[in-house]
Amino acid sequence: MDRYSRQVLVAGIGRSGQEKLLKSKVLIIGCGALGTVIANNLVRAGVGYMKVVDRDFVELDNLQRQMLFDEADVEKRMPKAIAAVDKLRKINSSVKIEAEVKDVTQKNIEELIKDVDIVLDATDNLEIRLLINDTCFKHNIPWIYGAAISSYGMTMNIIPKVTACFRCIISSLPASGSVDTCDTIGVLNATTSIIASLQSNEALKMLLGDEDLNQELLVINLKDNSFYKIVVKKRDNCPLCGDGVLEFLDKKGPSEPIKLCGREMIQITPQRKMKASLEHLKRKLERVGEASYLGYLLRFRVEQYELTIFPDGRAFVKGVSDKETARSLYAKYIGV
Amino acid sequence: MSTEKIEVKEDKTIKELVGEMSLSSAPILLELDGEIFYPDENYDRKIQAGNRLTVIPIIAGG
Repeated sequence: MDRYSRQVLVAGIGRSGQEKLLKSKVLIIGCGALGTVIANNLVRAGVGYMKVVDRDFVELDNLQRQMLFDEADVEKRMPKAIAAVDKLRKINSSVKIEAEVKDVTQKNIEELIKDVDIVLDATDNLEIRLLINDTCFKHNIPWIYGAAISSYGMTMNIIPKVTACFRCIISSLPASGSVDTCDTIGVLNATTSIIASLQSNEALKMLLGDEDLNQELLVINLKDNSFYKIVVKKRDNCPLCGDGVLEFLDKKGPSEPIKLCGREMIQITPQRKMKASLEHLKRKLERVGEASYLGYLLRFRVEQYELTIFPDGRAFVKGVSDKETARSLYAKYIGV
Repeated sequence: MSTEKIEVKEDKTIKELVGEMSLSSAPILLELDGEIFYPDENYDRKIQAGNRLTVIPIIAGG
């Protein structure tokens, strides 16, 4: 309890509040700019259990804002979830922390959120948030939306059946390319750090049972230092709040290739898990290109392309801008 | 990227305003006189000249 002494002194926490935190379980989906700050804050605050899920590996341009990573992680191409958890365990060894290197999909999200008290959104696209929204609604788990680009950010607590849900805010997925990303307009580390800190603080309040929760969409703009709250009401015809339609969780069919935020890179997810080991695949691929096994993943360079392959068969294809080329490179070298 | 305040020059429907702003496919909320509303639920709503409408873009980055 000593390590939390300054937090225990805060009105409304005390020893009993800290004991609640020590028994709490949180899931952080995404371990980039928002996720690293949230994880850092919550591990230091003394949650009992944390699961960190991320599909990506560390690259040099992440270091400007992704606070748990360093140059050695870039050199080793560490999966973000593993690199983050290594650091987090050094920060607070009494927290039980698990890393999951995977893409969160409708096939695995229910397993991931099982038994957690709260879900923190640290993702980078709207579709995954609609999936989190459906899943948390179904399992009655509160989640905290957070997003940031440039100097603009927003966060909102989404409590199933109580507040408006994310589907109220976005009734359907917008057309591809209609939403600005950190790739197109950049992002400041102060924006992501503030939004993530607000999310962490709301998470602690929820876990403590504090009734003084933020009930609004909180919007910040660091260009003019504005912070303001917007009351978001439930949408009259929300398919989720109104009829309980789990459109994104119940979606069937194979995963489409995904263009990753911030890079000329496309993710391909096979319909079935890969059976061959990465070492075996390396031996096969080094006959046609440059292949290196990095412990957690395999890197393969051929022509102007680079493929990063994960143990579950998922791959990032770098050097392509269209999904068809990415898919055909995957089929050619890894197989379907 | 930020919220944007728009002074409406002549009476228009929400659908017309959103179309003019080339925002029809990007997710936004609108605020008028402290009231927040969803544009797609209010396409026929008329906004009178002189009103100031705030556009709040919903974002995805993280």
